[in-house]
Amino acid sequence: MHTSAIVGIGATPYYRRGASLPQTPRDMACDAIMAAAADAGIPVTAIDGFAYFSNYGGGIETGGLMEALGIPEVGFSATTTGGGGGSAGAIGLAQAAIVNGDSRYVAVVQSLQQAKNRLGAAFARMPPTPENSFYRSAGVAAPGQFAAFIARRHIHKFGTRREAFAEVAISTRQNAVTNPAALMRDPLTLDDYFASPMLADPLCKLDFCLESDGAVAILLARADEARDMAQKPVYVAAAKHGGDRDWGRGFMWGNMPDESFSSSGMRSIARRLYAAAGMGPEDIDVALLYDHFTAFVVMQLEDFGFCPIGEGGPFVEQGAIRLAGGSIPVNPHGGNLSEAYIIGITHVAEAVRQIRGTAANQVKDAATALVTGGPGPMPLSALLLTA
Amino acid sequence: MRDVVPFSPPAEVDFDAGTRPYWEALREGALSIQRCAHCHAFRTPPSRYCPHCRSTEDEWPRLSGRARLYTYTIVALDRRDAEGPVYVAGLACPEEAPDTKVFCNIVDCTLDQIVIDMPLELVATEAGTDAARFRPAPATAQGGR
Repeated sequence: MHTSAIVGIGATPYYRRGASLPQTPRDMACDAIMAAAADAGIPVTAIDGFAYFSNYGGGIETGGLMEALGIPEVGFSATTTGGGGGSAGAIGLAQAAIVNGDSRYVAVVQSLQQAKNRLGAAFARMPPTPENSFYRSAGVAAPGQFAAFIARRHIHKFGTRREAFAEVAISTRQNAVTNPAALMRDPLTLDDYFASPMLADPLCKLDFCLESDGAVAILLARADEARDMAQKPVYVAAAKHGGDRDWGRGFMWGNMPDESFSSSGMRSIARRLYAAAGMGPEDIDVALLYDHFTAFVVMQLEDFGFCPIGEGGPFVEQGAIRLAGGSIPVNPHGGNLSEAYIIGITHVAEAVRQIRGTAANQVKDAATALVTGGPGPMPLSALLLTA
Repeated sequence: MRDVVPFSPPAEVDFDAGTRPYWEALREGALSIQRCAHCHAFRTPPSRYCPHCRSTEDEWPRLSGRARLYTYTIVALDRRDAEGPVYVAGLACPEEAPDTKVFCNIVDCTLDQIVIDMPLELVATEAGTDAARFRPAPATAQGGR
C-alpha cells in the first residue's frame, strides 16, 4: 500500500551562523548527499532525482550538484514554493517522482549558510516594493515580528501564558542536552527564559529558533525496493502540502481572518494528511513540529488535534510534550530551537531515526512520526512516516 | 517605563498605480482603503480583482481614521539599548472596514495604555514621512461601540 520510503539520511555537522565557512553551501550539500547514499547502500551516481523546498537557503541547484558529484542523469528536479512551509512537503515531491516512474532514487536536499544571508533579516534586506512598503513603513521587517502579532492574538483570545512558550523552549532544550549533534546543550530554566531579551514582545530571544549552517539530505526509493536495502525502511504514509485561502501568505502578511489568525494555519493540511493516511493524532508516537518560534508549536498542537483549539498553552504547561512522561513527545532532537535550524529538514531526519530506533533521544517503540513544515507563506506541509 | 516613539528612520516607501491612493491619502492626513465598486467589500492589500466578486472596478473612499487595535508587538528602536525607546507596531482594523488590517505604529501614548481592541484614531502624517500612525482615541469617538 505504501508507495515510497525513506532509505537513507545524511547530514553535515551543524554550525552556528557563518561558522561553516570556507565551505560553500554546495560543498555541504554534497557531503550530506554522499552520507545519505552511503547510509542507503547505493552509489551516489545512482541518484536520479532531486527535490527541494525554500530557495531562501540559496547556493544549491541540481546542475551544480550533478556536476560536483558526477551524477549522470536525472528525471526529476522540483521545489515546493514558499519557505520552510514546504519542508515536509518536499518529501511528497520525491514521492511523486517515484510514483510517476521519473526517478528511482530521489534526494531531498537543504543546505543553509547564513554568513551573509540571515533569514531573520530577510525582509529588512529586500529593496522597497509596493507590497512590502505596507509593513516596512510600520517597522515590521522580520519574521519574528509577524510571529509576535499572532502570538499576542493567541494570548488575547485564549489566555495563553508566556509560561507556555517558555515550556516549549525549555523542554526542547532539555532534549538537546542529550543530543550530541545539537548546537545548544546547556539546560534552560524558567528564570533564564524570563531574563531573555525581548525581541518582539511578547516573544523573547529564547522564543526564536537558532541561526545555523549545515546541510541534510533525505533519500527516497520505491517502497518495494526499500525492503531489500541497507536500512530499515521508513514508509511515507502521507505527505501533503498546500493550505487554505484564509491563511494565504500567512504570518508574512497578516491579513488572515480572526479564526485563522490565531493559529498555525495548518488545520486544512492536518485534515487532508490524516484522511490520506487513515490516521489521527492518537496514532502518532512522536511529533517533529516546525519550531521557528515557540508559539507556533503551541498552535500546531491545537491544529493537528493533540488538544482542543485554544488549549495548547495549558496542554504544554502540564508537560504533554516532554520526552519523559509526555503524551506526545515533541522534537526529541532539540528542534530548530536548540539542535539546529536548517529550515526544518532536520525534523525529517529525526523522524527517520526515531522510526529506525536509532535516535539520540529515542521515543520507545516509535512507529509513527508526524513532521510539519511551517507556518510560513503558502504552502504549509506535513508528513506522516511509519515503520 | 520605556518611551513609545514612532518607528525610525522612516522606511523608504515604494508604490505603484494599484497602491498609490493609500499613500496619497496618508500624506494628506487621511486613511483610505480599497473598496470594490461592485460588491462594496473592502480589501487589503490592494489588488486588481475583488476576491469576493472578481470585479475589477474599485474605489478609494476616505475613511474616518477611527480604528481598533487588532494585535501589536513592541520592539526596541535600538536592540542594544535595553532601556531605550520602543516602537509599537500593530495591525489596526478601520471602523468602516473591520475585516481589513492596516500596518501601523501606535504613538502618543505610554506602554501601559496599549491593549488589544482599544479605540484608535489616525494621526495626520508629518510632512515628508509615509507611515500609518494611530493614537488612542476616546471611547466615545467610536460611536458608542
